[in-house]
Amino acid sequence: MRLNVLFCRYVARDSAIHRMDPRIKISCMMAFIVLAFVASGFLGMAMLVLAITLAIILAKLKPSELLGALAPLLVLLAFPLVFNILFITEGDVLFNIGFLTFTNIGISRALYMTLRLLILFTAGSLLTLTTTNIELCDAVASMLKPFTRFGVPAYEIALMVSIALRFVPLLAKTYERIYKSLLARGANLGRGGPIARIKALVPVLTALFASAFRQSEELGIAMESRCYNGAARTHYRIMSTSRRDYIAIASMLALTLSLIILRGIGL
Amino acid sequence: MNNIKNDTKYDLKNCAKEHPAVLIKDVTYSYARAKVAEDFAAPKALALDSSTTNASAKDSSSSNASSHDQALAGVSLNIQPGEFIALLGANGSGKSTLARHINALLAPTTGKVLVCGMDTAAPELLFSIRSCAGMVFQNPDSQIVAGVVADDVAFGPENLCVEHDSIIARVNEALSDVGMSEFARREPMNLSGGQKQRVCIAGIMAMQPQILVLDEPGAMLDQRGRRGIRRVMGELHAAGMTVILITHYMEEAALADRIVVLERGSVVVDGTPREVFKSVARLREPGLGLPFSVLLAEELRLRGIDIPATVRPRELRAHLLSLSKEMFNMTLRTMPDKEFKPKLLHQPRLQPKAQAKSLSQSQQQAQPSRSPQSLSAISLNQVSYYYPEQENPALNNINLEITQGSLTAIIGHSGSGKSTLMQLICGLEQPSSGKISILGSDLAIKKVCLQIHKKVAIAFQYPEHQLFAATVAGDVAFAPKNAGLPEQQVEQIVREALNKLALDYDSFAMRSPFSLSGGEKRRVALAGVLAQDAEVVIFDEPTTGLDPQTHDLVLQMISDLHESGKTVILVTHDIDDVALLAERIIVLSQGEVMLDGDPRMVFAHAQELRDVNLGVPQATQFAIKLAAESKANAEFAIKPALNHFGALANQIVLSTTELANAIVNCLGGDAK
Repeated sequence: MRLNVLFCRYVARDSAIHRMDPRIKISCMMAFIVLAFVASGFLGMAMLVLAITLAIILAKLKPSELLGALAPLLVLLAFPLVFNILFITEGDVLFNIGFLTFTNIGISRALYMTLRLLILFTAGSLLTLTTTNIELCDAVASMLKPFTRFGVPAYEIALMVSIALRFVPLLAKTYERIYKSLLARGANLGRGGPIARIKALVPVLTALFASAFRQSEELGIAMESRCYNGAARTHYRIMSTSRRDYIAIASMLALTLSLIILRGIGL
Repeated sequence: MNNIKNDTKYDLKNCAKEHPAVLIKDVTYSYARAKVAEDFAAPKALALDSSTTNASAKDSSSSNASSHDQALAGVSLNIQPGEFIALLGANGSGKSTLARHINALLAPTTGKVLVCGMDTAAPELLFSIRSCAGMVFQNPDSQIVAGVVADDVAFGPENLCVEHDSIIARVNEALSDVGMSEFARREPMNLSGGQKQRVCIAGIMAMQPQILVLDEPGAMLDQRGRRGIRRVMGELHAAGMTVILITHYMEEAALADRIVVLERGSVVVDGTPREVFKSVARLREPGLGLPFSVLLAEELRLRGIDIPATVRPRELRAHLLSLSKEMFNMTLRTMPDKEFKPKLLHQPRLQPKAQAKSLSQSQQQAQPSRSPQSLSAISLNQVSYYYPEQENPALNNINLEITQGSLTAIIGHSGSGKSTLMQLICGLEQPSSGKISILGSDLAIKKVCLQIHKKVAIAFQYPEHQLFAATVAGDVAFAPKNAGLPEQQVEQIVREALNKLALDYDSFAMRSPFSLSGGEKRRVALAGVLAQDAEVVIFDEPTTGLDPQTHDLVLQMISDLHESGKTVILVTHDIDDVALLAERIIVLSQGEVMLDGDPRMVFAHAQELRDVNLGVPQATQFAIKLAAESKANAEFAIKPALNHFGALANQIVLSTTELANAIVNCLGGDAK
C-alpha cells in the first residue's frame, strides 16, 4: 500500500555523473542496456556489474537511495525467474519439487535474465537519480530535434513526460491518503474475493482521478500564468559536452569492444 | 494612497506612469458560458475578438445569464502602482476569478481589464501582461514544474526567452529576494510548505513583474510558513511592488493599504483597514472577520476604556501604554468609578473551555484533572513507530491516556509525528512496538483493528479531496452503508449529519459534490465523518483555507460534538482555535511528548513553544508583550508605579474577552 516515493526521483548532489551532458548520459544508458543483452557468460556480466558499480560510486549515491528507486521495480524480477525455471526443461535435471523440474540450464538462464534486468533497472535509475527532469526534457528534445521536421512536437513530449514523472510521488501520496480515509470510513478494501476487491477500489480510484485532474488543471494554469506556451524558449542550463563526457564515451566504447571480443572468443 | 515610488526597484519601467497598475471596469464573468464557448486553459481562447465576446454576451445576458451563474457580476476597481490590496470574501465569492482576470488567465465576458494600460483581451499582449502581473497560487505542489529549485525559478524567464546570462542573474536575485539562495540546488520535494511557496514567489519574481497577485498563499502553510510569506510580501511592497493578496486571515488583511471585499461577484466594501474594521457590524459581511486588535479594542471600549480603533496590535499596545501614562499623571480621570460590567454587543459564541486561573495555580495542576471514574478512550503504552529506511523514530516511547468525552488538541510542527500518531489511533498503521487500546480493546488484535472504524472516525486534512460519490448524499452515506444499516436509517443519519454542518438536505443531497464551492465541499466531507457516529472523532486541520464564517461553523460543530459527549481530538496549526476549544493540549516534538496539560499550563511555556516553531494565541502574545513593554517603560522612567500592565506577566489569558478583563483590572485597580 505504501508506494515508494523515491521512484523516479532526482537526488541533488555534486558529482561527475550529475554534471555529465544529459544527452551523453542518456546515450550511455541506452548503450549500456543494449550491452546487458549482448554480454554473455560470467566474465561479461561481471564486467557490466563492475562498470555500473563504478558509475554509482562516481555519482556519490547512497545504497539506500538506489534501493529506494529500485524497490518498486524489483517485483518485475520475479517473472523471468519463475518463467525460466518453469518452462525450460533442457539440460540436466537437478531436482524436482512436485511437478516443477529444476534443470541446470533453467536455473542459470533464470539467474542471467534476472541479473540482466537488474542491470537494466539500475542503469535507468542511475539516470533518473542523477538528472533533473528539466535536463532530461532538454536532452530528449535536443535528441529528437531531427524529427520536429516531420511534425513531432519533441519538446512538448519531453516536458510532458518529465512533469508526469515529477507527479508520480505526489500521486502515490494522494492514493495512500484516499485509501486510508476510506478504510477509516469502513470501506471493505483489500478483503473478500477478487471482484469484491476491485469493486471496493472504485471509490478510491474515482477520488484519485478527481484529485489528479484537479492537480493537473492547477499545474496547467500555473504554467500558463508563467508564460509557458510550448513555443521557443531559452534555457537556464546550457548543455555542453566536456572532457568528462568524452571519458564516458571512451569508457563505453572500450566496454563494448571488450564484450564483443569476449563473445567472439566464446567466453 | 497614491504612493508611487520612482526610485524603487519595482518601478513601472515599461508602463506609462499615468496608467493605474490595474484598472477593472464593469467586469462580469460567467464560467458556465465560458466553458461552452472556450477552454480557458488554452491561450487561444483569449484570442477571441473582444467585440464579438461583448456582442454575444449582450445577447445572452437578456435570456439566461442571471446574476446567479455569474462568478463576477460587474466589478470595477482602480488599483494604483505600489498599492497593497487585500482581497477578501467568502469561499466562492469570486476572488480567485478576479485574480485570474488580472493575470489574463481569464478574459471578461463583458467589461474591460487593463493591466499597466494593457487590455487583457488583446491576444498579442498576453505574455507582456502575465510577466507584468505575476501570480502565486494556493498549492505550491501544483505550481512547481522542475525537480530543482533554481531550474524551477528559471522556468518563467526561459518561457520569456530571456538570454542565458540574464536568466542566471535573475534566478539568483529572485532567490535572494525571498531568502532561499542557499536552497538553489535542492529538490523542492524536500522543502517545507512555506519554503516551497517562497520558491513559487521567486519563480514569479524572476519574471520581473510590477504586480504580484497572491491567491491565498498561506492557506496550506503553518504559522511559521505564513510569517515567512508575510515578511517577503512586506519587503516586496516596501520596494515598490504592487501587491494584491487574497486571504482569509484578517491579520494579514490588516497589513494592507486597502481592503476590497467581494460578495457574490460584486465589490461590497472598499476602504482602508481602519475604515473597514471600524465597526462590529462589518462582521456580518460574508468573508469578513475582525482582526484581533480590533476585537480587543472593541471589548475594551465596551468596558469603558476609550481607545481608538487600530488594526495592528503594536499600535493598540502603544495606545494602552500612553493611556497608562496619562492615568499615572492625573490619577483619576475618564474611568467610570463603578465596576466595569462586561456588556458585549457581540458576544463570541465560543468561550475558552479552560477556566481562568492564575499561572501558579495552573502549574500546580500540570496534569489535567480527571475524575477517578472517567474511562479511558485512548490509551497508548510505550508506543514507538519507525518508518522503513529511517533511523530516527517518528514516534518514540509515547505514553498517553485520553479520557472519554474530553476535547484534546494535539499540536506540533510538521514532522513532529502528529499525523503518524493519528494513523496509529485509527488502526491505519501498526506501531513498531508498544500497545494501543481504544475504549478498552487492544488494537493489536486483528478483529478489533478491522472493526475500529466503528469506534474511531478521522477527518484527514483536506477531506474534500477524498470525495468520490456522484451525489452529496451518496458520499455522506458511505460509512453507514458500509455498516449495513437499513436504507431508512441511513437517510436519517445523512440528514442529521448534513444538518450539523448547516447544509440543507433537500437542496444539497442530490447535487454532485464536485459542483460545490470549496467551503461546501469541506462541510460535506466532514458530514461524511460525522455520519460514522464513532465514539472518538479526530479532526486533522479541519479549518485550513476556510473563510471566517465557515471556520466558525466548523469550530461550533466540533464544540457541539464534544458537548454531546464524544471524545474529540483536534490536530491543528491554528493556535487560536486550540485556545478556544481545547481542555487539554499535547505538544509533540520530534516524536516525543514535549508538553501535556491544560491550555494555560502549555501556553505558559511561550519560549519553548517558539523554539519548536509553534506560537501562543494572539491574546496570550499580546499580554506578554504589553507586560514587557510596560515594565520597560516604568524602568525607563524610574517610576515603578507606572508599570500598570506588569501584572499581565503573571497570568496566561486565552481569549480577547479574558484579556480585556485583565487589562481593565490593571487600569481600573490603579485608578481607584
